Amino acid sequence: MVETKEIIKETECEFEPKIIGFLCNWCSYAGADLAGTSRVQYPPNIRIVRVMCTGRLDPQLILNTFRYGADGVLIAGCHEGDCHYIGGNYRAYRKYILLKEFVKRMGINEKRLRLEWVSASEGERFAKVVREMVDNIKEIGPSPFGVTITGGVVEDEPEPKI
Amino acid sequence: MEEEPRIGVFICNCGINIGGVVNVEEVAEYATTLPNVVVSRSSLYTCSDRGQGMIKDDIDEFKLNRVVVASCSPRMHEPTFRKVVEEKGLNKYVFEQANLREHVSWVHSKQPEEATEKAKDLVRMAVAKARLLESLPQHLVDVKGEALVIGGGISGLTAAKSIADRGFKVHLVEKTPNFGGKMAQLYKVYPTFDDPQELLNPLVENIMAHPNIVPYLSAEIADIEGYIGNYRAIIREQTEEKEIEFGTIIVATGFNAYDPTGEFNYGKHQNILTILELHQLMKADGPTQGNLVTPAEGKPPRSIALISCVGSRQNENTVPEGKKPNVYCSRVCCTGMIATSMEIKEKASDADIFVLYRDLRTHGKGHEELFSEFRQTGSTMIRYTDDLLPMVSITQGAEYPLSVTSYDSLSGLNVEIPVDLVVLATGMIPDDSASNIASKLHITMSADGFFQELHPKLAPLDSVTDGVYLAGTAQGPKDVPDSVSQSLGAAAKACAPMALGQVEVESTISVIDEDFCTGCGVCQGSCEFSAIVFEERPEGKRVSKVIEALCKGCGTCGSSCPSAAITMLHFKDAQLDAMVKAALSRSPGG
Ligand code: FES
Repeated sequence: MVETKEIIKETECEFEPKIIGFLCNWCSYAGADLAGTSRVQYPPNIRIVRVMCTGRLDPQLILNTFRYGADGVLIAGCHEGDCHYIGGNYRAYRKYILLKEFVKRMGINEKRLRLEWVSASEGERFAKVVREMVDNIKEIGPSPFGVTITGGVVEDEPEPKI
Repeated sequence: MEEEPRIGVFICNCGINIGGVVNVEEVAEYATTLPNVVVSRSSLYTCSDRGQGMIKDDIDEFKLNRVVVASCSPRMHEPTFRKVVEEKGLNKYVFEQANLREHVSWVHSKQPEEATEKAKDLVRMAVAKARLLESLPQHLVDVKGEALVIGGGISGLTAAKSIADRGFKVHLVEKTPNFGGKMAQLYKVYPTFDDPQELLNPLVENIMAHPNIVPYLSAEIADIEGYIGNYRAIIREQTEEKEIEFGTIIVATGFNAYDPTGEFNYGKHQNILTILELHQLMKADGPTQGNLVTPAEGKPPRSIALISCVGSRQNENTVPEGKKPNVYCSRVCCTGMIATSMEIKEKASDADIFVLYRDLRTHGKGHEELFSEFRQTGSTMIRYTDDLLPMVSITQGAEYPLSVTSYDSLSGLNVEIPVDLVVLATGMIPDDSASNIASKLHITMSADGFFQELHPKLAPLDSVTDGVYLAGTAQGPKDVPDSVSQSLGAAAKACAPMALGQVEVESTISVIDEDFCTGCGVCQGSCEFSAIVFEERPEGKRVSKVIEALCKGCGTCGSSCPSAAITMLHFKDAQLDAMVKAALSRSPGG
């Protein structure tokens, strides 16, 4: 059972969560950029995917992200009233509420999914959110779906039947 | 059928900005192992002429049909590199950028190994998306050759005149009954000691008589909608409403003076004034015909204290409870304060003047020279510290009505000064209208509440919305020369699309597959821009259709469609999915 041992080892001392961050272009992506320009340091566990607006986020995409083994998913967009497209963030919020419920039922700890409003001027706060998420997820441990997709790159696996 | 992707990957060192942390060579090497990558190189500055030349040469040599640049934020250089691929005849949407600077080297600067691994991941994600990128058709929109300028202070006036002089019609909207803004309220402007009216009057006359300018006073914008080139607004002037159409907007809503109520006993005694109030008192057309007398007693002041940084450079300890500290420097008060003290000296030559300051920041052309002059006037300088602000108390029955106490870090002593007059050099805060304007125009504000420019260094005049430009103190504290320069710049920016008559807008819009659309209309409810309408198909089926010119490309409809009939171009499900998958797949050897 080499694998189990390896997993235990990973969990105990060097589990580094992989977090996918979906950031809207106008506020949160710019906020993450500002963290950079201000040289704020945060753990290197997040991989950012830029979308124009959090309204774009399809629940299916978030679920897929967990299915592919993400230990955490961050959705970050403009503050209430500040969405570049008026109300995309509110729509994202509605989906988020449902998704929270949904992932729980799928056996995923709901703390793995987080939504935050981060403005373009909140570089420091973006870093803080990432730090917190990394800490929280380290505590929870690796995702139950945490089998990294097989060797090589983007190997296409059969799409699930809907 | 799309041709097989041939991807070129270009990794930027950005001098040492990326290369100093990330092992760029290793990442470039790694990129060659990714599917469809036919060439991968690093360069010192990919955005330089040489770097761009390298991309162009490789497009020719390797017949590239996709380009990935891993460098800084796409918010900065995406337009640059899109242009590079366009110059080689490729569609600009076959370009993808990975952010190795703001999101890697600058934020993980002490973890070179992890940073390098993350850089590889980001490149792998970008390549995954690049494989699925598609060329998109170009969308041009007509730009109406009229502009709206919001705010009739020095910035708005300057911008309006500059645009009108170029032959475009300008609608200039001012909320107060007069043009001139805050500048008109000043006694003098510095470091030149000009009377602001002398500078403003010819400008205002010119504006009122200008054939291309429609002035609106005591007016407000009741409603505004549209996009670059095609805006529509309702201007409410007193009781009348008028609908106008225009192509570009300049936001010059200016500033408000900080209200020091609750600090330094302001508001509790008539002789405690803000610097703006003192200026109004010193004006020839002021309540005392320009004679400097104390408001309470009507007598010439014998002793005056000026206090700097009121409402600026605050911290948690120095701000009154419940207020948020203004951490920024208002940039005009130091020179304003010393110059005003020189004016006071002119008007009340016998008076003792005490200048209580924290640091004196007399930057700007001619300001330091003014400071040297000021030092000859014999005013007493008292330097207070960040956490120990001077205190102003009202004395009862004493010879002087007010008393200022402060720690003076120059002498190390606590001083107590009896004075007739206290002048607070108050800073700038954004105008009250700012948040309303921000939400109407979908532009953003920075943490200080002033409008945020698209890029602090490279795009200081652009807002985040195409066709909306920023001028003057609406964007942040600045003095008259800076406001004027910025307004002229913003005017030039606004004229560019109007002169061209057409601009290209993003082609990243939603498209609906009519065959899958069931005509449920959920997407229409999710669209904030009323860009989706029903269309009857000949066979009697009702489907939804996107009006391209109205679609802003947020993608919200796409994620709401229960039939997955909507595709958000350039951010397609498959493209995002591929990025996520790539992010979570283990890198070979990583
Ligand atoms: S644009 Fe930021 S959430 Fe909509």
